[in-house]
Amino acid sequence: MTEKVEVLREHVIAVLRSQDVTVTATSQNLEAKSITYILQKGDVIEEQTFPPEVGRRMLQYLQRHFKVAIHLFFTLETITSKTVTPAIVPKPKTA
Amino acid sequence: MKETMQPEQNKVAQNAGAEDCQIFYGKTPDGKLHIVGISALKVVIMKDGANWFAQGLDVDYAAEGVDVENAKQNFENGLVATIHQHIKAYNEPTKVLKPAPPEVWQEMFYAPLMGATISNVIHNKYYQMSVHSLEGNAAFQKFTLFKNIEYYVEVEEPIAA
Repeated sequence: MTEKVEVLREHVIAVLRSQDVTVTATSQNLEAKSITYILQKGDVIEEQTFPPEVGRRMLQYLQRHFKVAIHLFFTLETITSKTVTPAIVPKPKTA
Repeated sequence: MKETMQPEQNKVAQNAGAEDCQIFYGKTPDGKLHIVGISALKVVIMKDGANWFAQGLDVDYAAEGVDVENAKQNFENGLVATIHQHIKAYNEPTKVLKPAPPEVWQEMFYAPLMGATISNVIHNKYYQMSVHSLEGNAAFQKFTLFKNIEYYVEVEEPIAA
C-alpha cells in the first residue's frame, strides 16, 4: 500500500525560502500545471519543476540536497514564523 | 571561429557506483563552450503519491512529474539545465555529476530488485550530450532523447478485490 503524502507547491517553496534557499521561478507549464524554479543554497544549484503538489520522495530529496529538515514541510508554524514579519504596533499607553 | 577540443584537458569521470555509466566533460580552450556527455545513466521512476518521481543513480539528480512521461521530461530538462547553471556559476559541472549516496541506491535500486514489486524493467544504453555556450545569452543545446537514458520503471500492480 502506498502512503499518499503530498504538500502544496507554494508551501514547499515557502519552506525552502525560510531555510535560506534562493528560489527563482523561470517558467510555467500550463498543461502540466507545473512551475520550474532555480533553487540555490550555498554551492548547491538546481533547476526543479514542481507540479501543484509535491510528493514525499521529492521532499526527501530536497531535505537531502538542501539540508532542510523534513518535518518543516509538514509544519505550517515554522514557515509563518520565519517568512511573515510581524508588524510593529506600539502598545497603547495605560493610565 | 572554429573551436577545437583539447582531449588532454578533458575531465573524465566514471561513477564508482555504476560500472556502465560514464561521464565526460570538455571545454574549448577559451572556456566559452562546454560539452557534457553522459552514457547509460540509470534512473529509477517510482510512483510518489499522485506524482511520479524520477531519481538518477549514477548522477544524484531527481525530478517529479504528473505522469511517467512528464517525470522523464522534467528529469532530462532539469538535469541539463542544472548542469548549465553549474557551468555558469563554477565554470565546470563536476559538482552536480556525482552518484547518489549508497542509501539511495539501496532503497531505490537494490531493494526493489530483491522484491517482487518490479514486474517491468526497461534497459537502454545510449549517450546523451549537451553543449553549453557561455557567450551571448549563455544558452545550451541538448542532443538526447528519453530513450537515451536507462530507466527502471516501477509498475503499479492492481489491487486484488
